[in-house]
Amino acid sequence: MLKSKKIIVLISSILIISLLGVVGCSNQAGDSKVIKLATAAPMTGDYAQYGEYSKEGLELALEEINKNGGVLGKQIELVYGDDKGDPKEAVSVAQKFVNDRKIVAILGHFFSGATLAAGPIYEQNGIPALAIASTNPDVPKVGKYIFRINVGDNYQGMQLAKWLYEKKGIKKVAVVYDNNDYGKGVSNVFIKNFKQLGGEITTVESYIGGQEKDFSVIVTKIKESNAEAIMMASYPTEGALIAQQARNNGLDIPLICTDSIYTDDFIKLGGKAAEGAIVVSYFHPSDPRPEVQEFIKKFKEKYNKEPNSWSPYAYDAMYVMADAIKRAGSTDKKAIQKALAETKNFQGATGITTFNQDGEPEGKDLIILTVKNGAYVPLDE
Amino acid sequence: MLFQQILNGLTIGAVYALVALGYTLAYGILGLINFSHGEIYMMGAFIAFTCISIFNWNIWLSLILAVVICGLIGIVVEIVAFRSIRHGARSSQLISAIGVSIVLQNIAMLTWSSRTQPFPQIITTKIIKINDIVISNLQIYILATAVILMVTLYLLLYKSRIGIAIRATSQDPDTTSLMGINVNKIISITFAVGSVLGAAAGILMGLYYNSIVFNMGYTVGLKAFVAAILGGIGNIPGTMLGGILLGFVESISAGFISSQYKDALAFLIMIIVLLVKPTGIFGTKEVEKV
Repeated sequence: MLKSKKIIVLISSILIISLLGVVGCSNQAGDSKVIKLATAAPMTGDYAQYGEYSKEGLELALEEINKNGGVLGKQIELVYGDDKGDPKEAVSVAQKFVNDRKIVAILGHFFSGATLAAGPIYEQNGIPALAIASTNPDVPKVGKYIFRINVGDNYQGMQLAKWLYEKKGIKKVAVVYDNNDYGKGVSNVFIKNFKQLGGEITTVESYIGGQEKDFSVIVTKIKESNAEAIMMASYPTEGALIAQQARNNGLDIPLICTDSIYTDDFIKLGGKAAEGAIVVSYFHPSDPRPEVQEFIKKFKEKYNKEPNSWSPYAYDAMYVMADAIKRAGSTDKKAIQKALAETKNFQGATGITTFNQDGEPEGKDLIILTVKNGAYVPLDE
Repeated sequence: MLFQQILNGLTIGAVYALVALGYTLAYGILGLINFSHGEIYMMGAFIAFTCISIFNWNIWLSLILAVVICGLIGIVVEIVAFRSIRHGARSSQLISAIGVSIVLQNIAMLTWSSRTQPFPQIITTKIIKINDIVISNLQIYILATAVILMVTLYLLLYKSRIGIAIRATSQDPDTTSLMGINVNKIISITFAVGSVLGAAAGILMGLYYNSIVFNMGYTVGLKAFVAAILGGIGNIPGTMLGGILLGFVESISAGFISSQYKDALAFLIMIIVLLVKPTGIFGTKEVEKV
């Protein structure tokens, strides 16, 4: 009896102390001289290069915004979290972010799996999150606090299926995908749309990214299935391996790749086998729009290299968020969420961003690229 | 398609067998599951890559150097991580091996970055077509090298004085040392031999896939461990066959059932083998040494 009383006293004192802590924190947030944002991406591990691309875009935008006086007269401070692209890590990063009361909004996460795992935590805690590269169709369905800057796979998969079937006249396609939320999502949408158009999916193969190196078995099956092209939802490392092993097995049909592969690593690792591969994207440096050209100029000045599509997404995400905070007129999370949802015709490096009611951007156009002489160039049609 | 898949399985199986031999040698002589062996495989590929791509050294010199350095790494690992706890608990040896694995992986990550690197293409790939079956010259080189290395290992173990000493040490180290054999030296040699095989496998795979990454040893190490268990860990011919068998199971199950269940089926077969014959397919009953 005495023991249980002691426990009750202990628990209630812990509760009181934690309550005080919360109050203390929220007071601090109001006095703060900076606006604290957080971003999460794979900074280490197998997919570390994506985190690097994202960081380059974010840093460029951050520098410009802060140089021009910041937002609401305050400088923006950006905190980095490393989710390794892994849903399990993403959850712990998200927990850390929501426990920091000063963080008013999240830019990220990057991979679909990470956003799908971390999203519900942000939704429950009412922190707006703007995902940078999470294309899975389920991402906007997580809740009203979850947005994304990039186009979802519903759109990309459909566009790709249409383009292949109607423009290229390819009727039989083999599908290979990385067995994660991204790969599954985009290939399912593609398969559904391609079949609806009347095309035939000869075989569907998957593998575990970051572990699988031997694709000779998959390549042999595709060859046997008499496909006219391979639709590939892969990351550069595996994409390059598939391209090489296909060529080494005498399989010489077009490779159609989703935008996840659009990095220099694919060309570097794939070498000759990557030549002629078709890559879809929403950004290419040859785009004549002034927002794109200005971004490329600034990016080249700072980093001395050509951007791929991930840095501009991150760059746009930072500006869209800054714009929303400005329109919200405060760092109140609810107000930021409302302002984000009202974003209309935002002109950025990756096209025009208008969110629909799910928090999904509308109206960005697919660009079709091909690898030629070791570089991505727009496909002549 | 069946023959093509068998050929695919044979190529990858030969590599599993080479790496698995390292597990079997370490287990045979120390009763130790050396989980750091996969990292030696990775080191072999990276050292060869550094010599060829960065220092631009002669190809043959680079390959030999990579294999020799890995042999030395094997000796150092044994001395640093296993010698002092040789008579300690099995679990501490296992933990020590996992520790070495983490250290080597992180050294590789810090030295060569976490990015996947293209392995220099020192052999131009040629394709040979026989009816419907496609064989690349790389596959032939891999199989030939694996066979040569395995035959050499067999001759070393069963036809040479060092081999007799190695086998004697694995049977009874105390009595062997009473016969005037330096057991420590023999154990070092065994680790060096295992590491050389692992490094050679790493270089072959680097060539075959044309890409290397700091954690490439993890998956292969695990698969090779399964291969060794399957064939009977501690048993040299059994391990070789275990590797080939695992390669077959993987390519046949992926080819005729689904690529999604490739790994699951390989592990399922290992579990079934362990339930039916706990010493592995070719393993012999071993009396637990005290």
